Amino acid sequence: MINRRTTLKIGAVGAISGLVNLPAQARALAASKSSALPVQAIYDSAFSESLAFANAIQVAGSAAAKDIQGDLGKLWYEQLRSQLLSDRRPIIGLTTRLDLFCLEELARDVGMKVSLRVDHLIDQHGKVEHQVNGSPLSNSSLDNLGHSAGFGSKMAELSELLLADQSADIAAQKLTGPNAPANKTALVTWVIS
Amino acid sequence: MALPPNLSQAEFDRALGEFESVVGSDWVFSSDADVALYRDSYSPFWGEDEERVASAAVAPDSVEEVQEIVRIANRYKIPLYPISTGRNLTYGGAAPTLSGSMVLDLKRMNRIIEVNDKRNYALVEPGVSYFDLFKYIRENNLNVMLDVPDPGWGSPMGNSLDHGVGYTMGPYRDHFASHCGLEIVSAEGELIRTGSGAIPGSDGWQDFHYGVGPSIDGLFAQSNFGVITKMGVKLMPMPETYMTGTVTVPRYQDLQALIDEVNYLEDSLLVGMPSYASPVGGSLFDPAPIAELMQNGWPTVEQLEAFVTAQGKPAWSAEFQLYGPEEVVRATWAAIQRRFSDNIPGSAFEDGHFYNLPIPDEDIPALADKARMGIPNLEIFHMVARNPMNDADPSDGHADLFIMAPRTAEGVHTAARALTEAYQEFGVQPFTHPFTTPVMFYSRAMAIVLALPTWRDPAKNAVTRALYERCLDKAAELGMGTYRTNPAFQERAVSKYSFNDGALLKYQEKLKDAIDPNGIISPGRYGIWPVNMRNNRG
Repeated sequence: MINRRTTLKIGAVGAISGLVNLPAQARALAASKSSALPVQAIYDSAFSESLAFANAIQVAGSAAAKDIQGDLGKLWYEQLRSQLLSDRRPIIGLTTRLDLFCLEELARDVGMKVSLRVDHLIDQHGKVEHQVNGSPLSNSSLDNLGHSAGFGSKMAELSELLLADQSADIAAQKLTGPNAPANKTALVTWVIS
Repeated sequence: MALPPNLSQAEFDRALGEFESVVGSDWVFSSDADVALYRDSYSPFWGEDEERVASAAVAPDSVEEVQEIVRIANRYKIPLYPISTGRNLTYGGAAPTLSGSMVLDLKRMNRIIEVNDKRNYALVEPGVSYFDLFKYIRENNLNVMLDVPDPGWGSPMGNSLDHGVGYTMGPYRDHFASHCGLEIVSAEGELIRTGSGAIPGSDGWQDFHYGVGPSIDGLFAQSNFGVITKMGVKLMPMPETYMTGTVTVPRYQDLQALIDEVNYLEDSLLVGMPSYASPVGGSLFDPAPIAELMQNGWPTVEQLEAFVTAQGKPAWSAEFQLYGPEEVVRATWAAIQRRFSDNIPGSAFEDGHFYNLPIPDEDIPALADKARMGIPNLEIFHMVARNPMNDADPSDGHADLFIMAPRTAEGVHTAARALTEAYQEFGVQPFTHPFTTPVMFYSRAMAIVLALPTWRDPAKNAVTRALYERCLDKAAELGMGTYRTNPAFQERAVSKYSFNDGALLKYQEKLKDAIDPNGIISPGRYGIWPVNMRNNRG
């Protein structure tokens, strides 16, 4: 489990912009909030992309990364809820769709909601589709993430941008149920704020 | 978002200001983004005009604030929809029965007032979850065991008041039956305590919950007569051990004898929740082994017996949960084996798990079935998320339908056949078949369980709703009903309880009119509409 807590200081917006085709609006937003708040990152070490996300957050000197370890209930009721009640700063994660579903329901306890999500649907051949909701980022802006393995660490590099982008678009809320589409693995990068 | 019925935006804004003056502006939620949190994630009307949506939400921190909120709601005639933690997925979640209602979110009232491990009860507020109560019991080394539902993220109070169920001994897993005392804010804002709690200074509220005179507690379950602000919960003393054992019986026609024995053991309080299964019928989610058998309609008994023989497996099984001192559970298991050997030829036995209780913290993660040992968890989501029934087209949620059948083999088979026919009418793969087994959430009734898929797709939801209603109709033709349902189906479910021209519902409506004259508490919940909205009925 990765649990080193430091201050979030991910790469500058200039570096991020090489990763995605940012629209001007999003660049301006990220630049205006380039020093994002400390956050907690949630991941599930059972999934390599999620683990890579957490590792990259760690390397970048981001916030504490917490592993769900197959027991989101324990993580929420023993750690996250009380922390968020006393310090309601955004959290970010790359988890399964199922765990986001549960976390979204639980987050109502502390008055927080999913403000942004990027779904990553992985088919049986490893091809990845990305879809963004609740953000001025367009789907095409994520083309540079590629369509194969390796997006987890790239999403970590985007975390500052994602955290800065709190447009409170309800399009990101309760977008799906807990289940993955047929024959696909459904992972999601998300912000709850 | 919706407005409360018959209220202008300006009037509603004034009311919201009054609510803020009671609880503070941080605890009144009226933005679209905040109110969307209360949508039912499994709604069978998702995204349609008929989806039940709130107008706003208010989250009090005390009984006094609840009373003030109720008084304001009466002045403006704003419907309130109380929730405890709002985790009632498949049965409506946090969304109100009537669109435009204001959710009365009791999550901040989350105090564990007392857990007594000598008299074996807890007294809790609505926002306490099973996880919270479990953690409190463990941290304080209290010698009691919870009975938890699956998933365990709801509250003991909310689950009990919705007739929720768990997995251990009969008197505990019927959660409303195991409540012991209510504190109620009436629809007019008056504070009431039931049973011994009505005696000033009583120390016996949770010990003797009847008091004297009529008991009104049952009026507050699955209803809309008041807001519950405290509830007692009977707890089982922590058993010294937990053990399981499975009995199998060989023939299709052995089910009645199996049920008779299980009824004897359950009603004698010798065993916890029995788990029926059919080794030849596949799992709940995988009816494939019998699909071929069903190709030409419902098989005859002879065909079913031949199928069992060809499979080379027993027709039925029942797993027993045993709780108590080791010498007692081992003696009980021996007695179970003797009774079955005496009464059902060909019975066979398999020892299951044995654990000393309580389970040490470090051993909990590896446990296969935590709920049966009173340990709340969310693992059921993983089980339901992916299975052969939904792999081809995974749903976004489900609307559960439990048909309550008599405790007989005929009851089980008749219900299973009727529900199979309903599915076949819609061209949907049936969930039931000749080897369908009941779930014994209630020790005195058998539940035939269906989980109908819900979607973000309105066209698919239309099929689900029609099929759900057809299943209710088919069951009612057999004299069977359900025990709990999503608001989308509550009217229809209640309509089946129509003895003597619907006398039961008429009586409930008379009570509603007397208790809640402005109709502000959960209008329409389980078909009970206040007089000023009764034209909504049906």
